[in-house]
Amino acid sequence: MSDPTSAITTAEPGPAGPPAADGVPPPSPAKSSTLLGDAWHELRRRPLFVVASLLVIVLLVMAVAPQLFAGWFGNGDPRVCDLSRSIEGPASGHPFGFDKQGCDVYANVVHGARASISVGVLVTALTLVLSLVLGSLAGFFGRVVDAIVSRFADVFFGFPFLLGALVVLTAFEARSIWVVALVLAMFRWPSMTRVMRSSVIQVRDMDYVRASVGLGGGKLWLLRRHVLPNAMTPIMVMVTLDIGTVIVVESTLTFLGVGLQAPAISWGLQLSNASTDFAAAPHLLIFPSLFLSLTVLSFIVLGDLIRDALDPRLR
Amino acid sequence: MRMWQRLTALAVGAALLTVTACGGGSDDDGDTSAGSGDGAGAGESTGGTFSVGIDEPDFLIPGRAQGAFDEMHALFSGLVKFGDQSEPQLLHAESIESDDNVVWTIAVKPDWTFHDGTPVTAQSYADAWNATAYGPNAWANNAQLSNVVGWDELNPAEGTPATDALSGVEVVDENTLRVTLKAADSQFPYKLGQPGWYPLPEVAFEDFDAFNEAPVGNGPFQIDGSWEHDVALSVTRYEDYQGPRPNADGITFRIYSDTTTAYTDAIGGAVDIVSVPQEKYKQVTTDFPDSYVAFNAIRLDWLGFPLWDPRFQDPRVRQAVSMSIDRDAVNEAIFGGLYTPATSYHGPSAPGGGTEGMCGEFCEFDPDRAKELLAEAGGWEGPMEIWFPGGVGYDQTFEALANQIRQNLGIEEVTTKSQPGFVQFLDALRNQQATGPFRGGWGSLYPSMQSLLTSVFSTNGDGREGGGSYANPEVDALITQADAAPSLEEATDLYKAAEQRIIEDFPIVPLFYAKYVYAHSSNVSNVIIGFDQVELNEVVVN
Repeated sequence: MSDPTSAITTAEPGPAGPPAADGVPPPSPAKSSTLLGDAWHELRRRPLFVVASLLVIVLLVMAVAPQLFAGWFGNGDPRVCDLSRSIEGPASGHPFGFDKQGCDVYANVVHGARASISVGVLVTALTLVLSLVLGSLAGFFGRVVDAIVSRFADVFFGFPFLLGALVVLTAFEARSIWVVALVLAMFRWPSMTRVMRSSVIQVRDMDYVRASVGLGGGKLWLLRRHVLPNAMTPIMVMVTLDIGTVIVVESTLTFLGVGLQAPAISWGLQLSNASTDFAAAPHLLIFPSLFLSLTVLSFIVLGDLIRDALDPRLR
Repeated sequence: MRMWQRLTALAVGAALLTVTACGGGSDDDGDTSAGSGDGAGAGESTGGTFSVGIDEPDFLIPGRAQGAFDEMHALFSGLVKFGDQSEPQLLHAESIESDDNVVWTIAVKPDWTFHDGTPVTAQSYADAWNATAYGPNAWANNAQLSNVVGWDELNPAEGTPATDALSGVEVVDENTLRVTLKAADSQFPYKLGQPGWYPLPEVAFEDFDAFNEAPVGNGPFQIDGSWEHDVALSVTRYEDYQGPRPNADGITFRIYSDTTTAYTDAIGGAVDIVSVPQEKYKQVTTDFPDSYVAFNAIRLDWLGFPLWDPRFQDPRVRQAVSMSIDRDAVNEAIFGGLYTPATSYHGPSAPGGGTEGMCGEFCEFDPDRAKELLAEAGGWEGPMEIWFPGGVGYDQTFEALANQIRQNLGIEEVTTKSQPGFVQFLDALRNQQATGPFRGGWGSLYPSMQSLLTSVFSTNGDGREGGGSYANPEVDALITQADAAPSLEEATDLYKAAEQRIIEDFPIVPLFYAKYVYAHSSNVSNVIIGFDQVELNEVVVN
């Protein structure tokens, strides 16, 4: 799952534009006949969606206010460490045991959610803004604008995502959450911009858009009022899927020593530290990776379900 | 500071105690051709080649190199060597004599040749020493010759020197040298084991940079091709070598940018001998149950301070840091108990006896007293950063130290700051850029208290940046007196007095008496670690 391009390619040929009238099942209650409304109805009934979104909500709360969870077992400060208990297993008050420095693993794992989820959300937010603007400009205006944006995107697209980020990040001496997020976003925007561009091109040539042009609508107004809302669906799906991917990439980079740095608390760092001693203390590896997997899984399942719901052809 | 790098290699040991082969029996049975030897008597070699994991050397010219000990000992031979012995063993020297410890006469064995066939003569030594001592060359081991008459003229405070030769070095005849020292030094024969005292062939002086890529040495092995930067360095046995004959036909030094990678490679058998990074000390007994060697080096690990920074000038601040560190806990948790918590400023096993306990209460763990001391000194504001070199397995050690200081001293934020590598780290110290306590360590190149005291704490020391560039004329005077003392007992007493005087100033926080820890694959046996690191000649390829 560390191969981000696979997520993209599967999403790319996906749904685009407004549903053709004949593809939509007859909306049951008359009140909700919009695409999002339909999707919401569809999703609410899926138990998997409820579970995944609950998990995501819990993780988000954990990222915002880790102290709410960390203190459950009475040792909520991740920086209270007792070297004499180095790599001890689970004990009362310390359900996940101790790491090599003698710090409580549970508190550290809970506090680690913030770094990973922040990077995930930041990167996707940044790429979303970039690709929305650039993609719709390129798609809607075409010609020179399209050429510039597309070629520029091609340049970045040429670098393998992980390798590119690795090389650029090495150049930074101090790497905060923001630095990591910016670098990841730098290599992340081209794929989304492409999707956005093709989806805008599709909508641009729809009859109702042409009609608006005929009625004298301004270009930017057209873009905002008619094109964007109908072209955004695929990108929204991609964004949800992307959060999970980015979290994995952040952990990978941190594990390799070029992502976040101590004293930041992050799952990648915990895994990296655990790697020297996992034979003697497997719990150091298990708990952070459990949380990491759960988070990534929640985001990806969520994204997957949303895509299904938004794509009428899959119904 | 070359030692610094070797620190990573961790192994130099205590003088008297010889190899502690904590690991297994396989190391002990191979004494066949050990040490003392004149090559001929050592019997036939066992052949084969093996590999050693190293970090990228800065230079291979002995006078210029800060690390690269193993590579240098393969390519070059000096006048004396130590191995795991505490007395200098004559290698190329026939005799080293003096009546007054001031004028030394050194006779070298005839018939030794460099790898290009030219003879190694007294002149080869004199030329090399002049080049090392010549200030404008700026070679790292320059200070090792600082006690020779004429060194001052070659290293003027400003401008270029008027001459390019040490006036205190005289070539008497082809095989005899006479060295005149500025002050009497009974430890002079020990000092000759340092790389600053190695010879160079004539070809070296044509172009040092070209020579550095493929050195022509006088050691047991000659270079095969040239130094492939960041990849490897291969050597094959030099058949005309007159010293003890190596067992192996050749060695490949594999260059790693991270010692942990080298360690993992050794587990997989991709490299035969590696120095074990600190973060693997707890694993090494499981990963290499029968094949790791921990040599009781005379080696001290400490925390140095930026003494130029006003926040660290009060000795009570430094003492408070010292008392806030639970050395036993760090030793157990990070090093698996391999080290010994330090209680003085010098390793435990120097000739003349150790100085354990000299540091007194300030090296004992006492958080309450530590907080009091810090408060008396005016407390601490803001974050404290601990500096260390990255890529050599120190991360967990310094994280543990930072946690100790933070929790036990009640400083809100104590963080670690790693530099990309040893070279950058040492530059930061030398340019006084470090803004907080930093990693310090010294593995004595020769088993005399003189090595650590002079190199780290004297005004002319070649490793003084590791002690925060500490300088005290009283200490200098005591060391000079000790050097001149006629007997070992008197010398030891004076060295101890110097150490006592340094401890009063408390420039560093001593942490551990460290060891050099190596691990080897089952491909090789008879791996002996000593003051010169790996005894390459002794290694037997199975």
